[in-house]
Amino acid sequence: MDATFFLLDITVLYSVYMILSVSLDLEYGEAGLPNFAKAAFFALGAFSVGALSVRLGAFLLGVGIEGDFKLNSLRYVMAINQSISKDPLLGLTIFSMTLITAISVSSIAGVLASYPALRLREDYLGMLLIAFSETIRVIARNYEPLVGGTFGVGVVDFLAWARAPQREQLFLLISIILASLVWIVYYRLSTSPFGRALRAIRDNELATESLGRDVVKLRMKVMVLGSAMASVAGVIYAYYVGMVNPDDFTTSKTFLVTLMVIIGGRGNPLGAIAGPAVYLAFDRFIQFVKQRIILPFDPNYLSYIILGAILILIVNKRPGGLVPEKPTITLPGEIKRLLRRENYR
Amino acid sequence: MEIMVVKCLSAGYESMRVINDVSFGVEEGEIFAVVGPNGSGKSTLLKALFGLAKVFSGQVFFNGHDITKLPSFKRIKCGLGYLAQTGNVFENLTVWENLLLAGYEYSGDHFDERLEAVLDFLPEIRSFMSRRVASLSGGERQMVALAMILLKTPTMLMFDEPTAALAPKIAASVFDRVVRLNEESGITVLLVEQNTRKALELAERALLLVSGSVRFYGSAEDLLNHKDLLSMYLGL
Amino acid sequence: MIMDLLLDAIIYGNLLSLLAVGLSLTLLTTKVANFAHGDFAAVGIYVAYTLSIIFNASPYLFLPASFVSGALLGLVIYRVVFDPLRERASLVTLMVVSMALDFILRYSIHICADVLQRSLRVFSRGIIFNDVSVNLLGLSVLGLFFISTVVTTIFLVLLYLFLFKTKVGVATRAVIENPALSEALGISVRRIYALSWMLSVAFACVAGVFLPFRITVNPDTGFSMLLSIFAAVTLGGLESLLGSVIGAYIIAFSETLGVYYLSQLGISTAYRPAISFATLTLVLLVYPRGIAGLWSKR
Repeated sequence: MDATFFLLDITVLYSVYMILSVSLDLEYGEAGLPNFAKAAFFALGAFSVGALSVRLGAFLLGVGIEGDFKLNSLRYVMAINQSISKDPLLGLTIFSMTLITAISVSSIAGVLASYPALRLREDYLGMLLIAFSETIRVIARNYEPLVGGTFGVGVVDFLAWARAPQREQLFLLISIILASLVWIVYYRLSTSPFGRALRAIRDNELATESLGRDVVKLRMKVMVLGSAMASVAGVIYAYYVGMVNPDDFTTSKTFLVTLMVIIGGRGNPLGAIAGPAVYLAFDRFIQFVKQRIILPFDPNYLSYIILGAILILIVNKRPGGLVPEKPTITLPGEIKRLLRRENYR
Repeated sequence: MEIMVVKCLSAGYESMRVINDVSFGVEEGEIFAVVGPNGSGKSTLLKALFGLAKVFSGQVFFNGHDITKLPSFKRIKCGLGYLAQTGNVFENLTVWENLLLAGYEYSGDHFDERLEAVLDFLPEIRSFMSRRVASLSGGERQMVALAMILLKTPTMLMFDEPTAALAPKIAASVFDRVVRLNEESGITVLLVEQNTRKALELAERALLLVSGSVRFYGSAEDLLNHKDLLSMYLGL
Repeated sequence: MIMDLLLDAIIYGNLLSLLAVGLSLTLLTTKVANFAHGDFAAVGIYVAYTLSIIFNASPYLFLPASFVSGALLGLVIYRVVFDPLRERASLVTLMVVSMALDFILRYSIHICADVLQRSLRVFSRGIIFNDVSVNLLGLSVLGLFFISTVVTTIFLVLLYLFLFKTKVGVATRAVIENPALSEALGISVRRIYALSWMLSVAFACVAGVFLPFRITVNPDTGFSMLLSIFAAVTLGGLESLLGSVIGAYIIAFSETLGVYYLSQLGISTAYRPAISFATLTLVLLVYPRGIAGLWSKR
């Protein structure tokens, strides 16, 4: 496999999963909101790109889209890519506008999703969010003008003006920058009073409320932020794959991200780095092994089974994950000094 | 013979200590009262004696055995019964089903025997056997809870404010029952009560608990006559 | 036409009620919102299918085998997965664990399907069972309708008798209401939990056997029913076994009739899940006590 391609592939996927893990860590790890509609917010980002990139490109070029969107999208994609190869600004415009749309749409959905959080027991909330997630997928799957139904829709290549390997390197750079930005935002929030407030709500809502913190507002802020982050991941994913297909955004995706968060360590910026790394390493390993061992069945099945088993094991044996959350205790000075001295031995 | 001995018991919940360094003994066959102002830790003391609260230090002995670390259902088997204020009956089940479950571990004949004995002591229950507990009055519920514990043939019963939220006439009958239980069956009674006067009248010996510590331990009559302590802590 | 629809709805209702009652049972006892519940149905299907191929007999005959496999599977799952987490894991964690369980089960079934196909040289996806016609009072009735209704009725009646007329059943209801008090009275709460898992999975496996008589079935079919099962339980009030049964029939009728009328209006039948989703959302947000709220005082 070409080195650049391999690096691009693994880095982009890692960035996408890391952003998703961060968003879930923020919502679930820090604020205790089990956002099992994660795949839906991820999808909203990708669907924004899918629905808009071709239409926007056509609009900017002064061309109307004739005929069935589903069947013709790829043709238009190729035509638009041709224009972009001569005009980088067109590509960048499409990228930035779809990104902004994605974030906006997702944020609004995040606001809506934060309402039921108040009134429901956590597991029922999880149920509701999963139902919501599946419904979004079913709608996208059947309402063809959106993203072409089961066919999917083509996505414009906004970097068509760059030539390989610069094109790949640019995409890599963009993914890394976006992922790092998201992570830094999470890190700053987590270690700030905002983060402490979230963890306080997670651990004891009544107490926090009585202390005067507006629980509703905080929850909403978290959901909006988390949704926005997830949609950014969706945008990267859509442009990387070059196509958007609703069947890519099932609850299995939500579950995978949950797995990453739990393996890495909940409510913990370092956990959001570790989790996706472990998953990707495992996934690549299976791909590697798949080509060398012959089994009477599809090896992907086995990898899912192993992942499920790993999750159950971790919850049982090491519930904090690889990088457990450090409790925020303010230790009396004496003890702090003592501990520091221990470290020097 | 002291059926229960408590040595330097400190107990509470999570990291909070509610009772500190409590020591006393209960003689076999007596009625022992535990009184004190609200929040003094009386309920917590009982919970700790039964295994439902966290013990930080100290020991509890029952019939000579150290039961400090024993789980609740094993203490029941040793003969220690506990009538909590709430959560002591299954509301959605009928009285009969509740009693059936109290005698869960008994074989058919043994259960029938025990049930008869308990119903002889509390005959009123026969009239509402098939009703759901949730539809019963406070006093009736109390009776069912008591019947359930009696099915287990306890040698000592601990009552946590049994007359709280009961009308005075019913409360009086509860006290009568407690005394009858003690006199007829010889069951040792540890009575935690808000109604201090009544409790001290019934009891032989008593403990005054204030803010988790023992302020008086001795004859109930003495405490009843101790005007200072009574007025200072119990507003009497 | 309307007759066919009604029969179909009743059949679907029978199936769904067995599944919903099972889901409620494990939810009420161990507080697990079980995402793998649909897959248990798939397990039942493949057990019956495999046996029917090996012994060359109608899958109906292997209902007992499905039941027993389900009971064993339920026992193993409870002991290995959920018993160690008792009192340790939060509700959401339990849910996530059930998702992991769904992965494990679903893909194990996929593997079994592949292996089956290769070793016995039969189709193991897109399975459909051939039904029989039953002669009832001179009328020829669809076997599935007759058998599923009879089996479901028997099972639900037996469940009722168990819960209200046996000591262990009464203990189960007690454990659902107040596990601490039950434990104090000497009832082994863990054993009751294990038993409820055994029943839950066994019921689901039996329900599964009826599916291929009605639609083509794949290893994922169980999972795709999950939304309807959850909708039925939620509609029933999440805390009531009887509610789940009633909820199941309502959802079954809504989906069957709803999809028919939607198709008359030109809307794709793929929107079927929307019915369950709408029900679930409305009930959770507007009237969480569900149908059970009509008779429960809590």
